Amino acid sequence: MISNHKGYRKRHRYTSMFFMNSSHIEHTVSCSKNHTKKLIVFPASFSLIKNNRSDVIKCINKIEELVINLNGFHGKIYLDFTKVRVVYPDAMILLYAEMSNIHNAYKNIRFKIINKSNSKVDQILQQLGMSKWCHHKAKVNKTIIRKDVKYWRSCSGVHVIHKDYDKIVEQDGILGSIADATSKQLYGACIEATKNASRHAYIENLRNIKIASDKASWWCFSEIKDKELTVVVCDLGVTIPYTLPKRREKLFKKLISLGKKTDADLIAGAIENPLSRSGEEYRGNGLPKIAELAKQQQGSMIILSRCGVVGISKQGRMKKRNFKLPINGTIVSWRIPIVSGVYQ
Amino acid sequence: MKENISVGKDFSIYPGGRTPDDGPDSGEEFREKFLVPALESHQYLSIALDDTRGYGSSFLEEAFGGVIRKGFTKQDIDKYIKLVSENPSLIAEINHYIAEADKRSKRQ
Repeated sequence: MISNHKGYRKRHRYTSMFFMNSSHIEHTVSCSKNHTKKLIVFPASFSLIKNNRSDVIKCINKIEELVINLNGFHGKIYLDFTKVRVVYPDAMILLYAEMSNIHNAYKNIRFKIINKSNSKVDQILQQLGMSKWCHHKAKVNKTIIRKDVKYWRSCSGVHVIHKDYDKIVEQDGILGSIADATSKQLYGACIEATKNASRHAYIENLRNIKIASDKASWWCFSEIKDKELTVVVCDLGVTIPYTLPKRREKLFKKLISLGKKTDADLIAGAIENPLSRSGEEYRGNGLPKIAELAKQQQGSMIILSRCGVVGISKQGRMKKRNFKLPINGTIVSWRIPIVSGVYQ
Repeated sequence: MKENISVGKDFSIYPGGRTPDDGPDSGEEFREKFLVPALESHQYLSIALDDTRGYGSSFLEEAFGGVIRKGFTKQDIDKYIKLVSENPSLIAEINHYIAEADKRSKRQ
């Protein structure tokens, strides 16, 4: 990670000071009494499962902290992606969701992107529309858009995904390139994930930052890579492990009595024991429906919520993992094979 | 008299969530527009399910399980509603929601 952004400091000729904040470094530049510029430097690997998870989360949390501190002032937050080499949809969607929420809830906060021209990250930011929010004129040569960036798609919404599903899978004929039954399973899974986000994720606000869930309660990505379609849905809500003891006390106590105490255990428990927070018996098929696609071996699935990660492989095997640092939200990701067409 | 409908053509290619609170084209809307009128007037209704993007479980449960909660019986549904799909697991899923709602209604 960058500790001393000399080129940046020289270019702007501002008085600088540095302060350490755990493993990542925030660079504050003061240019006048009421104007401050803050620099967030993202790590080389942009993932929530592989390397640098904690660095990515710290950077995103730092953005939130700066937004709260800068609100009401003429502040600008610089997002430095020059070190980023590998981008995974799970981490990118969390940043995208946070930025989108800030864009919706804090009109006076301004962002500036620092990046290498025409890099993969620059192309992704451009493709997703984040460059526009940040008034970043990405120098992207449209004739040489990378193959692995060209098929990134995004959408967001307040209610269930509905017609916007086509924004992420229908363009460029993706829908015709995946098995019909799988596509229908994926639609159903996306409906349930987005419904869960809009109905259940924002029952409380546990964070200091304002959540504009009336503008967007979920965010969705799709990506095509290595003959597979990845679809990711993210919310910034209270998370599954937080909700479980409050809304499903019986199940929570049962899991605890069985020694299943971690966040991953609680997520897996919610998948395997359907019943929603409403307590009405006929509700609560959402999470199993979300997992069905993987359980029927039509693809794989991962759920990240707070510290826990639960994955179901193509063979239907479930794996659990816990991390130290939590994410503020829930991310569901499906990966399904492309069976025909130009993407093979 | 028998009526044939297609969910995709006559309702929506994009079936939504459980209720209108979840957005457009919800299971509740489908139930009130097609299922309840057919059952009330004892009209046979054949429903082609396949020409949509797919279904969320909440749409199906509210549309078909919800019919039982509205006071109709499983026998009413079996008699007047015919489900048409090339996917047997979709019909099994709907029948499961109807059977579960029916069981709960008998417990109450």
